[in-house]
Amino acid sequence: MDPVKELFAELSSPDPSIRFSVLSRIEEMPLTASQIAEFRGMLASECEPGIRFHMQKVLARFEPGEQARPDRSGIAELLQQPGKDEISLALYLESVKRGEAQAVADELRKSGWVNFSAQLLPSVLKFLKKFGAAEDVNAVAALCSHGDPRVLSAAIEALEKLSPERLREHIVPLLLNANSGIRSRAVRILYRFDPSEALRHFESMLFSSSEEEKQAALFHSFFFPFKQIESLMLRYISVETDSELIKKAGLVFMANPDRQIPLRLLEARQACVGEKYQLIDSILKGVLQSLFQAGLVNAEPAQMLEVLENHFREKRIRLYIERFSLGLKSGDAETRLKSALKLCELIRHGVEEPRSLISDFLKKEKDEKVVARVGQFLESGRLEPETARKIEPETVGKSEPETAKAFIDLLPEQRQKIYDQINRENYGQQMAGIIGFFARLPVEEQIAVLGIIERSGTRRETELMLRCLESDNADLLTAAIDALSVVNPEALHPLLPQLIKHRFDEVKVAAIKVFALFDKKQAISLVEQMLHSIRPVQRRNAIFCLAHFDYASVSQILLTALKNESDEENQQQIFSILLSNADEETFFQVYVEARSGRSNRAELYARLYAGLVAKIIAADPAKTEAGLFAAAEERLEEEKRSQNQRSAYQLEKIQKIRQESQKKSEPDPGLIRFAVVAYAIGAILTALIWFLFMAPPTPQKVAKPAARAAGQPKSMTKTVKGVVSGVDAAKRQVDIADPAEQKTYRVHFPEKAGALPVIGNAFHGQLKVTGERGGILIGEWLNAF
Amino acid sequence: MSNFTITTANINGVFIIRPCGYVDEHGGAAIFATVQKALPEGHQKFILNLAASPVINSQGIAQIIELAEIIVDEKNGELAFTGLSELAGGVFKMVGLLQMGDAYPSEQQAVEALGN
Repeated sequence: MDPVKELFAELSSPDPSIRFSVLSRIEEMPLTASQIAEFRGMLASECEPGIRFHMQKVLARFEPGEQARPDRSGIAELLQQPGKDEISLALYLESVKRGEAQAVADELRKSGWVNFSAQLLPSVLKFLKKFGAAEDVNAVAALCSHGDPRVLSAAIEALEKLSPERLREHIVPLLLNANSGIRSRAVRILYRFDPSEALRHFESMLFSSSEEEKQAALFHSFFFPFKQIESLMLRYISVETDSELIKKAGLVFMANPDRQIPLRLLEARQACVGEKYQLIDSILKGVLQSLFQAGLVNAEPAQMLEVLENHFREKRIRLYIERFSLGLKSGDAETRLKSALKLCELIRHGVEEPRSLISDFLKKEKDEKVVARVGQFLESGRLEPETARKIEPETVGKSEPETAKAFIDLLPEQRQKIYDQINRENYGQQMAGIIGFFARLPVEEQIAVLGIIERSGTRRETELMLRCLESDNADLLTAAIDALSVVNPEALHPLLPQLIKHRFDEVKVAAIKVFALFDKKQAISLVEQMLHSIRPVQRRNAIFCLAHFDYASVSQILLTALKNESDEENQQQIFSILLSNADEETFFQVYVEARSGRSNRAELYARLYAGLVAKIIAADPAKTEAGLFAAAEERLEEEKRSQNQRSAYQLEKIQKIRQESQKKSEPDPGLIRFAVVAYAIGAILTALIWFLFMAPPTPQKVAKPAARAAGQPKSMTKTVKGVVSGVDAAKRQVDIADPAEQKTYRVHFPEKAGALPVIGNAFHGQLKVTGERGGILIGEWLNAF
Repeated sequence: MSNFTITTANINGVFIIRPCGYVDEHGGAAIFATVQKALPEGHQKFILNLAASPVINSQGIAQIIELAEIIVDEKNGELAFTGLSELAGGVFKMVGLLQMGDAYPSEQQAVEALGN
């Protein structure tokens, strides 16, 4: 399609921000006489004054008199006219050459330009940005509180050029501005004066509930040093559910390849399922590709991925061993037994590392029953002592049908031998003979079978696993959840809300781990609740659960937990997770905590940061202890400095003021967006800031993905609390009104959702929002809490 | 540190910058310096051919934005990009560089467009 036609088609959009963004592209294009005529027709039907002004400016370029614009004396006359020709003036200011700029600036000053119309001011400010002088600073600074966002933005840009220091005095009002674009710009300005506080503001925008705010933060993420925002960005992509936003964030990672990032991304990927797994997988592969293309590594992406996946598996095993080896030191015999059995299970699956731990444990363990049961399990995979009968050697090797027929009649030891021999290759054959007898097997064998399904099973066994969820045995329930989470997580999904509330902590933790695959934010908040328990065991389970999340998502929670944790075993558990994920950001935070004088656990933190330094250096020989400590000391100094200065723009204060002002007047988001883009293009950077994260994509000469229809929401998972306001039983369609968000959802309830609710019922659950029709959000039921 | 080089050419009055290697802070500064040197020589039309620089980091982007501002905004010149990798194209679009200069599939097409 002809690019001009394409742009003209977009000029007919009912959305003024789309029309406005298109104008910036048309501005520089040569137009034919018929195109100019068509454009003129569009101008006649355009009602929005800001867009009209810009359209007139575009047209003026093609007017016959365009070549004969006023000279400097003409402009002086024009400036003095009460009803001045603003289009000519704007065009003239854009074309002033350096040689005559000084004289034009003088004329502008004489004419009292600050009182010009909001339409014209951006052109003047753009001119002053290029040719202004110290004497213009006060006037420009005064416009940094202008009500029109475009004037305000142009004023900030001009002041940034003329006297950047003066921006400091405008930080607070800019951070309070109703427009998210202005606010995020303010955060960037604040970064010059107070990097750590600016990053706190950036974090708050990135994790805001407003998509507009997140878009603005993502746009500005390119303007922060990546190292400073790396951890935030990792946490962001781990918890974000909007695929378009994840893709945008992915660009930041791919453009800033760092050798430490792929492993973190791999962890984030492993903590996801479905579309999000694919999205993070693409980002991970993109970063590996960038590392290779940038010449930062020599290994091909596929090779690196293999190494990373092995490393990830080893790290998981190491964490598992560390967790249960701590349990071996417990004062409670039952905990020691359970921990030892978990480690024995690993040994039985071919992981040799815990063998020496178990051997040492058995030598020191005083409880004979524990020694006997661990010894027995390690030997045979069974908890009970061997029966007197010997295994008949011919049984194990028998042909399959014969073995299957006799399976339930075999001795437990013989069955155990069969379990031990099952692998991916013979899984189908062997399990065929076992499944039928599953219900008659003792619980410990059922758990063993579930373990086999988890490692090698298929969705065919879903029913069997679901039946196990009705059990009252915590170990069996946990094993069934673990197996289902690997083999068929979707089947488990609707049951998770009940399992998360289960009376057994182990079951709760297993359910939360799976729940995190679908809704990480909520899962993390559930674990945080457990961390507030007064029972150390429940907190321990929560900490163990945190180890299963990707580190980026939970690092702050772990550090907060460490501040409050009084149980030594739990502290050790947190230590081991932090050390296993040692990175510079964690080190800096721990160092500041240890040295700031605000913690009464400075010694504990000092031990931790020493360990972190050792791990960081071991992982990256390019890092030195001296370098890390110098950087940490700098961070500490900066924190101290900021503590004294941050009174006015401190995040909490700004948030409080904004909340209060929002209570007074809730601006229409559509109007804000419109206000942002409703005026003609001024300074190029203004255009950058406004268009890029607010305006829809404009046609480019580079390849682009298919655009979504304007106004159509992206597919996203949403937790909704509301009231059923309508039911169409034939279509299984339920209308849910969410009074808090003032939204109505039309939701399709699949058969698996069971009986439809009735009008007036409360609804609390998750939906997949897929679109919008006539102001009603359309979606699919996912589950109900 | 990867090797980073820049070659330049002047075709039909269009100044072409061809970086090769990872455009990080150092690479971005080198591109910036090349443009700064060319401007006083009277060049107004620039093409940044990034075919041999598929990866440009945040600091590199910041330098390119700054030079684009100088060329387009301050000097009323023209800027075009070519050889953009999929990644660089996405980043340029996101940060708004494609509002400051158009992207072309080939250097020749960019020269033709700017030469007119």
